[in-house]
Amino acid sequence: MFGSGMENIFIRETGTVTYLILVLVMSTTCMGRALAGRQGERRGNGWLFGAALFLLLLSKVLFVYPYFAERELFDVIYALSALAGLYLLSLSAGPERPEKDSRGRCRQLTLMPLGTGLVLGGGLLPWLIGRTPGAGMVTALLAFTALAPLGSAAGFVWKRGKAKYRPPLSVSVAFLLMAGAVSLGGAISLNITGPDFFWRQLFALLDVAGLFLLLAGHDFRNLPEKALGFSSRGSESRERGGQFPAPRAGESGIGSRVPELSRNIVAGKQAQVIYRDIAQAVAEEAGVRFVLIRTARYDENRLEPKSYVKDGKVKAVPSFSMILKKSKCLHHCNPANALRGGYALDREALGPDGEAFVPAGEGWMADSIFLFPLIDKKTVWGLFTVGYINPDSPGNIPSVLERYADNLMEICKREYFRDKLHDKDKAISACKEELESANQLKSNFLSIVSHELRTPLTSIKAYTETLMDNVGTIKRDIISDFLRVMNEENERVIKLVDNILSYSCLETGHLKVEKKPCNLNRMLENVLEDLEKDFSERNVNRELKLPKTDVIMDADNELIRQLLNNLVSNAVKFAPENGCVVVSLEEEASNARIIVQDNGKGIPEDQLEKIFERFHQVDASNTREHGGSGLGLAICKNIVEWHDGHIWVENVKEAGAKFVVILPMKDIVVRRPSGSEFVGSVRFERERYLSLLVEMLAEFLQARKASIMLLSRDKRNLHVCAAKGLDPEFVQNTKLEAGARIAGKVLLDGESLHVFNIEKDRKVGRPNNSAYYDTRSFISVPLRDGQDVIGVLNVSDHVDNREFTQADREILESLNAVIAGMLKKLDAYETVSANFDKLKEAMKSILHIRESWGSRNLVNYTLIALAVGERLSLDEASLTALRMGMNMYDLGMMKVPRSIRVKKEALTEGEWHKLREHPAMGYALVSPMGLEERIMRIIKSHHEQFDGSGYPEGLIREEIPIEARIINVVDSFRALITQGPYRRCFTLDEARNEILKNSGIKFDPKVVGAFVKTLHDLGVREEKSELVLDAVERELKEKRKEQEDIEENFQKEELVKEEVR
Amino acid sequence: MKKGKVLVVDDEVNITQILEFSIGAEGYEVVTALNGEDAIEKARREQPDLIILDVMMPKIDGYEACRILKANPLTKNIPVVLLTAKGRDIDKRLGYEVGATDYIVKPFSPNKLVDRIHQLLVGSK
Repeated sequence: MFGSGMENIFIRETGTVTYLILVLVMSTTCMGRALAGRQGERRGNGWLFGAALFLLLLSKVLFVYPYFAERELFDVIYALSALAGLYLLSLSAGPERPEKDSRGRCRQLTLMPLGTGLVLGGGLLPWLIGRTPGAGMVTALLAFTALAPLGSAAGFVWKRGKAKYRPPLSVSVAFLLMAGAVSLGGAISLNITGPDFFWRQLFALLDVAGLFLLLAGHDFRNLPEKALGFSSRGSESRERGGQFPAPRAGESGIGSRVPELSRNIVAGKQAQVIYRDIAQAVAEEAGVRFVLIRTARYDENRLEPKSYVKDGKVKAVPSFSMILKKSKCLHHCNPANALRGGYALDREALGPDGEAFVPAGEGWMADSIFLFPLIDKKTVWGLFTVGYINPDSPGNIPSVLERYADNLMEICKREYFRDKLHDKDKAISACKEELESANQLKSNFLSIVSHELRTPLTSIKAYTETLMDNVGTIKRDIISDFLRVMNEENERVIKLVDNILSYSCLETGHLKVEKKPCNLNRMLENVLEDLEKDFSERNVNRELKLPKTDVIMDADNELIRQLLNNLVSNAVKFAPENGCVVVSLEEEASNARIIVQDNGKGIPEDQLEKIFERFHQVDASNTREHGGSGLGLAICKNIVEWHDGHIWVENVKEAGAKFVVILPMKDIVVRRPSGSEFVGSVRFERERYLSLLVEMLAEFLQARKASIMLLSRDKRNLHVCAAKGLDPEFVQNTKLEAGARIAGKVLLDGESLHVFNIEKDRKVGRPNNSAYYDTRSFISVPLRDGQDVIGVLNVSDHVDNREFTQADREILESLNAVIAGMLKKLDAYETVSANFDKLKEAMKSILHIRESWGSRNLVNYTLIALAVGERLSLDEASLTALRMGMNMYDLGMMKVPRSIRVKKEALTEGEWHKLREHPAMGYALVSPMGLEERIMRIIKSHHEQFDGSGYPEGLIREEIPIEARIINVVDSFRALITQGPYRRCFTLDEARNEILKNSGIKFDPKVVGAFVKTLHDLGVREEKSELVLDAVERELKEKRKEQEDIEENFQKEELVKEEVR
Repeated sequence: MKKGKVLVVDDEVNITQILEFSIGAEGYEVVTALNGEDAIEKARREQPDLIILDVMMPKIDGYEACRILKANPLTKNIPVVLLTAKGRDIDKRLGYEVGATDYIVKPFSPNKLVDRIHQLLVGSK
């Protein structure tokens, strides 16, 4: 009966053990879940369900363990228990009680019959069939399995009478496949142990699959509906899926405390009290043990607890607060997919946050929580959370919550706007403080300046007076001493005044910076020489570290001198006696770095930033000790900023302060594209972007000269699009043919060229051309976008005057992809921006037409055109197009030069041509606006004529859109009665006759007929050279009259009432 | 014979120098100090008849020095003339509050200062 060999026993044992483990794990988990999830529930179907599982599993254990006893007996036991289990299952979770997940799909209904089918297939059938082996069995079972989900679907549809909750096809297919795989897998793996054993194992496996599906089908998380108090509602409420029904008209009657709460809110009672009152009222009326009110704080991205009532008492608000984004609660009431409704969730769905306020209880719905979002205009303002429904007196929770929702929302909003106001207040007071501190700074400035000016003036006055009084008696050497002092003090005043002046110039921007080549090496030497006296007076040593090559940059020489002078003399002042000041200059690819360092006592860390503010002294007494007006560093900062540089100070570890100045070289040139390819901000952005790219290139390679060359559109020429360290002329005008010169060769070959020494390199081998290369080494690499070479990157002149190395080349090659990518982005940006600019232009032109025609006229002509359209019974879409078309058809005219538009003499051939282009131009202008094609067509063809003699396309008769034909008539009429540049203006009658004369030639006779009638109907006439539509006037008058009548009646009624009283 | 002893305190050497010259020329004995601490020390030691004290000085300023002088029984009876560039009323009031006898605003005229000294010293004797 059992297998026929030792090897089979081994396999069988393994199979059995695996199966047992599987069964044990599953049964433990399932029982555990069933027990925990169903505890305390009145219906007790949890127990039934658990028992069902237990029986099913037990039967399987007995069935597959073949060494127990007589197998026939166990087969019977198994089959009976399977049947019993199924019976219990159907009791516990039959399709009579559909439970739905949050999206309203009934998982149970989908999966229950499927599971049942599999249990049947696994347990009942083999017993009935009597273990007859054969391939037909497998097929039959698989077919049964396949039928199960379909049957369930059909059954469901039949049962409900509606196909609304059909099980999704994907679910059916997935489970079918799974069941099939389990069956086949079992069949294949156990086949070798003989027919008997094979069938048993297969059935057993199918049973497991069936159970698994049953479990999956039973959604533990859904709260039984009955518990929420509306299970008796019937099918109507179920159709809303997971949502709870809106209260019926009768139920939504005013709750006992709603009016009182509204009054309190209006009276401005404290928000906290109102939250509390609402929570208490809800707890009472809904018959729940706890109510938690939370409001959404979007600025802080969380839910803020406001009030918490438990067992009728107000408790301290729980300290936890939920993060909005992570909150499942809020996810469930996402305004995008929810109406204002409620959600029932259990502890599991709430996650760890739920634990905090869901303690265990007896006789209550232990893990039932009901969430009710407050939604207004798609914004969630807050959240009601209620729980512990009293099963003896369940209130209608959704309707109670709905009743109080408005109160709560109102108070939420009030708080929200109060907070906003509070923030504004804060901002204002911060502003005020800032102002006050600015004022303080100003008075400090005045007091310091007055002190600084008075001190030398005092000396001068005192010495002068003394000298004058004692001119006869005083000794000669004392006189000269006095004069020396007077002179020194004079100098001091001059210097101070100079400082104040230059500072205020720099600050207010009334300064003309003259940028000329400035040799920083020379400048530093000069400054140190000028300050020689200061150094020797204070006995301070100096040290100057300069690079070998001169650093030359475009800058304002005088300002830079002042900057260096201030920094160095400052350092000398703060260096101790016998101290040392180190000044160094370094060249970097795109900057010059100047460092001035002393070995004094440094600057307190908290003052490092502030010392560049005007009149800021580290210590007020320092000024007196070291002199100076407190302006020196502020001036330095200003000068550096004028040169787009940076300045900062840091403390040196050993001693002293280190001032660092970074001055950008500003030798980047961006080629300006010819013509007006890019305009305004786009062009500015483009230049900025390209210069940053070049700067990056130069910085990475530490090259003085760098350039990005791009292939022109026709792929023939290379031009420099941006460069650093090259002559602007050269950048603007250089054009290289592919293959010419070094860059051209690199482009053609598609290979990098790294030249170590230009004069010795075999490939290049020519004397150095110093116009391009100061050093003899350079690298050129092709710029690639995917496979295509789109340009060349060049670097030369290493700042250290050394050759470029292999490592440099590798850096450049890896930059390649980055730069190519960035250029691509730039192109994309330009396209978008250019379109945007065009859009702006179109809108401007539209407004421009209205300006030149007069908006009122345009409105009137539009009315006429529409009336014609209506008379010709155009459909609504057509009328809309006509309306839009009337407002913008002459757009292109704004692009025709004014000289042509108003020319008195006959136009030349060329001018005519220009003029005739205007419909096409208008078409091009509006194209970025994304208008309907119909409207665009109108704009394009409003000068087409009925007989085909119009422009631009020479359309004929019906080819011309009807709207355009109407506009043509109206426009001609407008042109006739308007003062033209080269003819007198017509009267209305003359114009009408003119139109009639051209009917059938220029104009569609049908349109002309309608037009003439319309003119008559609308009562079009002219008044002070403006068009007046009598019909419109009449309508207005009638309306006004009507209004007045109503007013009059009202007043009469009032009078009557008064009299009655 | 010396008319009296005057202590001149200012952190600007130029000022003490010229005051020393002008006041000395009138026959007073002049002692100078360049900061607050020095001034307090010298006032105690030299027991001048009058102190001319600058307000804006590093470390101990004129007001502070004056307060210290007035707190010390040895020096509290010596009249103090404050000398300062701060000419606002509030500054003057502050000066009187700390016990100064007079207040002279910079820039000042040496002649007038000497006259004032003369008055004060004669008046006190």
